[in-house]
Amino acid sequence: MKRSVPPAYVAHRTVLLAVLLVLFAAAGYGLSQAIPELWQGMSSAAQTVRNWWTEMGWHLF
Amino acid sequence: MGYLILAAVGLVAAYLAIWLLVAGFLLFYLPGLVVAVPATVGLGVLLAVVTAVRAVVAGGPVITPEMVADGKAGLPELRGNNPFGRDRAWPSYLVAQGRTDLRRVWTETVKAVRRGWKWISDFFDNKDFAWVPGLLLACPLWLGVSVGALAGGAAIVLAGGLVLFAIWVPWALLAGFLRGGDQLVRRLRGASPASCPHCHHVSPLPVFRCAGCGQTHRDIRPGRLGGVWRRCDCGRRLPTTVLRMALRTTPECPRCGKSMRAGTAALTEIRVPVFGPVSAGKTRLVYAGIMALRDALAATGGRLDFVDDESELAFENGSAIITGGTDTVKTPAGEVPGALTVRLTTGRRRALLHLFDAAGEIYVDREENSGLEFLDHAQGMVFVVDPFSVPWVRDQLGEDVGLIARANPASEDPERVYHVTAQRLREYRVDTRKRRLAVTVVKADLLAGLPLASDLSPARCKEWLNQAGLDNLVLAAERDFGEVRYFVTASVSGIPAGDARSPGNPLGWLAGLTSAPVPGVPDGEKETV
Repeated sequence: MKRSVPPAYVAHRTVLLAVLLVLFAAAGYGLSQAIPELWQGMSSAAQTVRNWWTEMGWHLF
Repeated sequence: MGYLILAAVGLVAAYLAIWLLVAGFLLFYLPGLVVAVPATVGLGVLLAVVTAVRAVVAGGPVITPEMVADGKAGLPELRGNNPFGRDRAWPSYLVAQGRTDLRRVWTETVKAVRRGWKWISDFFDNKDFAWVPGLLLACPLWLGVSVGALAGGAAIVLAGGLVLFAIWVPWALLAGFLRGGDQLVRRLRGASPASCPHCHHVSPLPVFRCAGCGQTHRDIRPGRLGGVWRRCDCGRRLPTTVLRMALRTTPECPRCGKSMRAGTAALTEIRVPVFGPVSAGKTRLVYAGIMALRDALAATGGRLDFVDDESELAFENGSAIITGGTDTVKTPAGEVPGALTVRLTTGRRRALLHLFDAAGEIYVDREENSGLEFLDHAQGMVFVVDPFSVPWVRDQLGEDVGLIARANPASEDPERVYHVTAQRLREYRVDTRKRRLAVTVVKADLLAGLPLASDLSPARCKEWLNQAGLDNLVLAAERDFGEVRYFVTASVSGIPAGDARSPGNPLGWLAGLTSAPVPGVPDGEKETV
């Protein structure tokens, strides 16, 4: 039988959840602010990899 | 020739395939991973957050009062030899359930990651060459998710732990303050240890029953089962300090399980045994003393009342005997009596005075007096001396048989009773140097007018006892006890409050020791019979 927990448990869990959500929101906001820069970094890294191929100069014919 | 052409075509095809592979790897696959893997790490963090929220909202295993009582709640072992374990109550969230919830957040995150790996393993293992896309696509992508989920889960657990710790610090400080304050106030007030009037056990921690379900709580103090309030198994909220709890409900003795007096553990407690030989007049002194105390308190605006029916009934019978001038019934030998408890009130100050009146036979029997536990915890004692049992008095009374018959003298030598009792206290390592003794010469009403008692007064009582041949008793009493005072009393009704012969004087003096609210007891040094 599942027992109902004391109100203090619910209160503590709510606080914990609220803090987690605040942290998540803060992290999400920080990430959204950083996405253009990150995207630029990732694109640049991808391009660097592609450049290896070009620099290799290994053409089919 | 045909073979050569075939080999050349094969070489060209192999070259083409290798070129396509390398070109595809460097042009599409690696750049794709460079972009996709960081994104999957972000997805992993999201997975961890969702898992954590689900775990907290849904709630996992609950640390129940049963687990606490059974020692399965993960709480530290109790100090000392405690055969009962912890009480059946909900533990504070911060010390048990919080830890369990955070652990569950972590385990659920790990489980989610594992489920993903298992799915990948099952899905790509069942088809021919399916391991190739599994290895090249699913594994790197899920690796990113796993790293993100585990890092996110660890961060969430760490953040949750810090939040709980930040709440725990003030909680622990408050609980510690309440616990220390409760103990300090009870000690200063003289409310600790609490006395059991039935088995005479004294305990710093009386047992309380939940008013809702009757569940016993053996250690109600602030702690892991509640800082300011405690939640009983039945859900009822109970205060955590002994003082607050004792004001709401009557405590029980942790040894015999019987109810203590109402107010025990919250009010000042004064334990006073009255001892002396058989027929010395102990019982009469107790009842007459209570009557005198009641009158003295009433005269100063205070009050003496009863907190239990047993004591009230006994007093009603006893006071009727005193008022009627008849003899008290012999206290039954062979049974250790319960305490006769009265509550003394002056203004806002209240105290419980427990009087212990055992049969005289018990005091002179070394085996029987070992059961008189109330002697060990008394703050002061009254030693009753019957003057008519002193040979010097009997010699002077000579042929006055009528007076001796009326006095119904004690059968035992007072000195012997004193020494046997003092020896018992020493054997039980009672520090009598910290106790006070009221040596009380009773039956002063019968001595009134006799030449042998012409100089018998509280001020000269000690000299009178020396003169009567009880010098060894006086010497021993003053050597054994921290403070000894001498009283001369008449256990009869009609003696006004403040009279030097008032039977309330020895009780009042001893009750005043522990800051009990007893009105000014006349100074025995100045009054005469």
